Amino acid sequence: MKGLRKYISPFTPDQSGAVSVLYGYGGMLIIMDAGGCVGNICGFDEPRWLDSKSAIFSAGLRDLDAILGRDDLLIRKTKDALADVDAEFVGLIGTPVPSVIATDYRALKRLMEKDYHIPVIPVETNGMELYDRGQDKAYRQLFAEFAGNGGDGAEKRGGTVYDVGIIGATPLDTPAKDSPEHLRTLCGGRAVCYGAGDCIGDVMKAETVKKNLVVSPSGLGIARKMKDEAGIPYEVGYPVEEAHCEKFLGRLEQCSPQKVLVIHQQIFADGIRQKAAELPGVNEADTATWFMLDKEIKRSGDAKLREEDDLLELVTERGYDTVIGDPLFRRALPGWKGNYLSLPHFAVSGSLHAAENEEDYWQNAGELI
Amino acid sequence: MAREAFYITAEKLAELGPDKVPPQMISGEHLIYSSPATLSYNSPGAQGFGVKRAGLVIPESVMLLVSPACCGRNTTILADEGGYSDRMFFLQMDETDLITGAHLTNIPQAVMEICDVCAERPKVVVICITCVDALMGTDLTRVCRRAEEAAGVKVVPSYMYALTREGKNPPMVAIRETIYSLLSPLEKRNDMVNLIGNFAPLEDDTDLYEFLRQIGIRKANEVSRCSTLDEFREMGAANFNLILNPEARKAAVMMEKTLGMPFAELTRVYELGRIRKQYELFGAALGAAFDLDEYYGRAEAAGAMLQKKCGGASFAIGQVVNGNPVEMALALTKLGLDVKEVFANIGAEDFPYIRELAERAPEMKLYSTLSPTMMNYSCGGEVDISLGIDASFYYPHSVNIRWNSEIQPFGYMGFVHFAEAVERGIG
Repeated sequence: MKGLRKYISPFTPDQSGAVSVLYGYGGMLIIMDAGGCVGNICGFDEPRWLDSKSAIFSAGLRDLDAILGRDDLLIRKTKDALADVDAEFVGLIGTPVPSVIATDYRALKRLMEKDYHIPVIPVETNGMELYDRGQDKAYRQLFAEFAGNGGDGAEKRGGTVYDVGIIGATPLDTPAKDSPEHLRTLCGGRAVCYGAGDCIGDVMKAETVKKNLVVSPSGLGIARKMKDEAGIPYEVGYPVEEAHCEKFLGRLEQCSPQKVLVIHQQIFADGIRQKAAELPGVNEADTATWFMLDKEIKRSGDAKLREEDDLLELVTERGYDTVIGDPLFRRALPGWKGNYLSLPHFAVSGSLHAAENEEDYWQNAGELI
Repeated sequence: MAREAFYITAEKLAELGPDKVPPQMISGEHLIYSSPATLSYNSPGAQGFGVKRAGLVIPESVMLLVSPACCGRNTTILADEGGYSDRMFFLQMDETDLITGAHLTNIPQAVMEICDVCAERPKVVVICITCVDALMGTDLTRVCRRAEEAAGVKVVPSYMYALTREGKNPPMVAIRETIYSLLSPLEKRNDMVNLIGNFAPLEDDTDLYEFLRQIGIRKANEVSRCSTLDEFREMGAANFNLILNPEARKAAVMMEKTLGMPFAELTRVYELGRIRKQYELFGAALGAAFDLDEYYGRAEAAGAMLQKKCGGASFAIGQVVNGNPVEMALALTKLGLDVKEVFANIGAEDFPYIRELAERAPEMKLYSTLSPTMMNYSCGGEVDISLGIDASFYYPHSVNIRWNSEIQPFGYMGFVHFAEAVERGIG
């Protein structure tokens, strides 16, 4: 049945995805909710939140605010808060409530910017789409606001010139909190990981990088836009250290796989798939994802999963003997007798199977469930 | 430009009174700050007993959350950790459903499907809807009736409407009404009482059980101690309801109407004089007198121990504790202990305590944890003992006494156990 989840709990929604992109830029992020959404975002989808203070606020909407559309109250409350907290910008993150009452984000942006004299970045998420859709929207809004002026004033805001821009490396897409460092090292040279350890000044200089590396599908939209508008080429792929790969592949090989399915975000899954396909005895390796499946980088055999039942149907119909994916998916394969190897995805199981660092992640990835 | 966390002293707040509480302490007047300290109560479903877990207190029940995916996200983790993931099911809405209401049409079929996959067929299915349906004016009672007819199982509505948190029927009030709506009138038993309001039982040795025995009560029912639906339904025979959490008042009123069951209310307090007075008034209302001396003596001894062990130590009290932090501050202050700071959302019901604190500890600071100014709170100050998980966030170097177990402390023995927990904590 459409939307029914009997085995798998909800994944990270778009609003958390938007926050994962904007989180590190020193903005005041206002979740346009009554309180429940912000609890979900901070407590369950944003691992960095526990490490340090961050200016994430709930709009504290109440029924009458929603019914009467009291935008003036939100504008006043935000202005009051800005008197107490320094912010590079104000981010407005949508939830189901503004979606139902059709909040006019563009009008809010205009009114707020006129009043506060700092940029306002609205991200029209609705809590019903998945995290990568929210990320895609947030990247587009962030870059539209700050990139594209040739980097004027970027130095004042800490901007530096880099060779490579890494897009899509949020905690929701990568193995662990230290993954951006690993990615920067693997890229060699000077690399900036947008949303992880960079600053607004670096985004302002985004058009000066020599190329972009997209490590999750949510980064493809903005990478393509930068290619079209600024001529910056991009590559797609998720680099992983050889030592980590070997450990994981060793575990996979012990299962003597012949037909393998890898489930994760598309680009990460594709990297694992390519390695798995090289193992002796493997005659087919495909990927599947509940999240974005980009047509341009999709290979034949790759599948988009929508409903819960799709997974069991795909695995049984195509006869996979080995499935690699988040441990929580295992429950959705009742009766299936193949080998299931763990490959946690934070946007699925959150802190339940989260790793402290990359070393820890790859130490446990590939465990038989 | 303010760059400090807002606080007010007990003396100043008492002077202002409940009608002139500063706007920084009124959640509807400002954005709500989200820090790790506030997670447990800034989200109706975040931790502990939120709406979803509370609904599952009904024995032999499962829950179907009908909502946008974001409303159920925390359940992925909490249900797994809490061991109830096999009792939670989800019917996720998309934007089309918002327009067509198709998700409501699918509920009967969804109920049938989830009943089929449960290892043991559930006896109750709790349907939970969220803010979007509140705005759409969904008539869930009607939908539940249709689902009940289709699936042949009891289906009850529940509402996780964060939007109405400060209204007349906030989510944690409504869920208690949902739970007790399952009771039907039975032949009255004079020796039976229902303790309502908590989702976990009182401590086994609580004095309340003993005092109830003294007046002839042989069975004190708590929903959390019922392992079957039939056992839970026996609560319909109780002589009266005893409210132990004010959020159960509405449920008690409902039961008075539907079951003819009167109610009384007791408040959890830690100040020994108040505990005694409350029991005396309760006894008088029932035309009886409790023999309080033995338990009072134990609590008094525990208080003396606290005075001895903690004299000279300073305290900070957070909000995530089994108790009202302001009342706890007063109780400790009356023992001569030094409470420096309290983190709380102040309400009118706190003012009797605040007025007394103004006399005894006028400089005590009260912080509003949800105020955006708390971004500027400088964590890591000097306090020896912090009470509550959230207080450990503000005072990471203090000895932290969590004091928020799910099993509920109450009465004199609640105080005794609290004192013992502090003693264990300080070593």
